[in-house]
Amino acid sequence: MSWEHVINAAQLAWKIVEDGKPSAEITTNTCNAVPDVTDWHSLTDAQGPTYVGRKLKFENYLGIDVVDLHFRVHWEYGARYRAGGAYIPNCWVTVLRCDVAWGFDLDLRMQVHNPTNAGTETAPKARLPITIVGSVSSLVTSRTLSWDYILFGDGNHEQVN
Amino acid sequence: MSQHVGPDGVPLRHDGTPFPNDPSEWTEEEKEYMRTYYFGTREEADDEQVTVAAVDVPDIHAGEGGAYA
Repeated sequence: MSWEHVINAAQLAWKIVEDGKPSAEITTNTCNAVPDVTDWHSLTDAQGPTYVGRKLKFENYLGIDVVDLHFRVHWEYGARYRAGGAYIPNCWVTVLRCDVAWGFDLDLRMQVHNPTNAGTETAPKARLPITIVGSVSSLVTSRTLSWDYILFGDGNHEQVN
Repeated sequence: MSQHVGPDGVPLRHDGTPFPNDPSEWTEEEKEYMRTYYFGTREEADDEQVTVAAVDVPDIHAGEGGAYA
C-alpha cells in the first residue's frame, strides 16, 4: 500500500438505464480514484464536482422522438492526501432525461476500469478510465452504444470516442 | 397505411387499432411500413464538456506519519 498507487475503493460497475428507465442503482453506486492507504477517507480539499455529459436522441421517420436520453458523469477532483496529490474521491452518474417509445428499449451501464497514477511518485494525479456501454434496440433493430472517458484528478478529462 | 400513433404511444394500424406487440402478427405490408418509418431512425448527439481550471498537484508531505504502509 502506498499513496502513489491509485485504487478504486468503491463500485466497479452498475446499471444506469435498465429496460428503458433510469436504474435505481445510480442513486447508490459510486466509484473513486484514491490513494492505496488505509486512511484514504481523510482526503481533503476536494473541488467540484465537474461533469461530462451526453445528449442522444433517435427520431423516426414519422417525426417521433423514440429515444431521448441525457446523462452526466460527475466527479470531484483535486482532493489532497497529506496536502498533496490530486485524487478523485467521488464519481457518479445522473440521468436527466430518459424517454423511450413503444417498441424500443434502452440499456446502459457504467464500467469502471483500473485507475492509475498519471502524476509522479510524490505528486500523484489520479487517472480514472470509465466506459458507458449499452444498446438501443427495437422489435426489428439493435445498436450498440459505447462512450469512453478518462477522468483526471486535476479536473481535466478526455473523451476517447 | 396508418401514420398515426395513439395517445398511449402505440402506433396505429390503418383501421385505427394499435399494432400488436408481436411482429409476427403484422402483415408483410405492415412490417415493411414499421421497419421503414417507425423503427427507421436518425440520430442526433451532443456532447457536454465542462472545462475547469486544472488544479495544481503538489507533493505529498511524506513525513507526517499515518497510514503509509
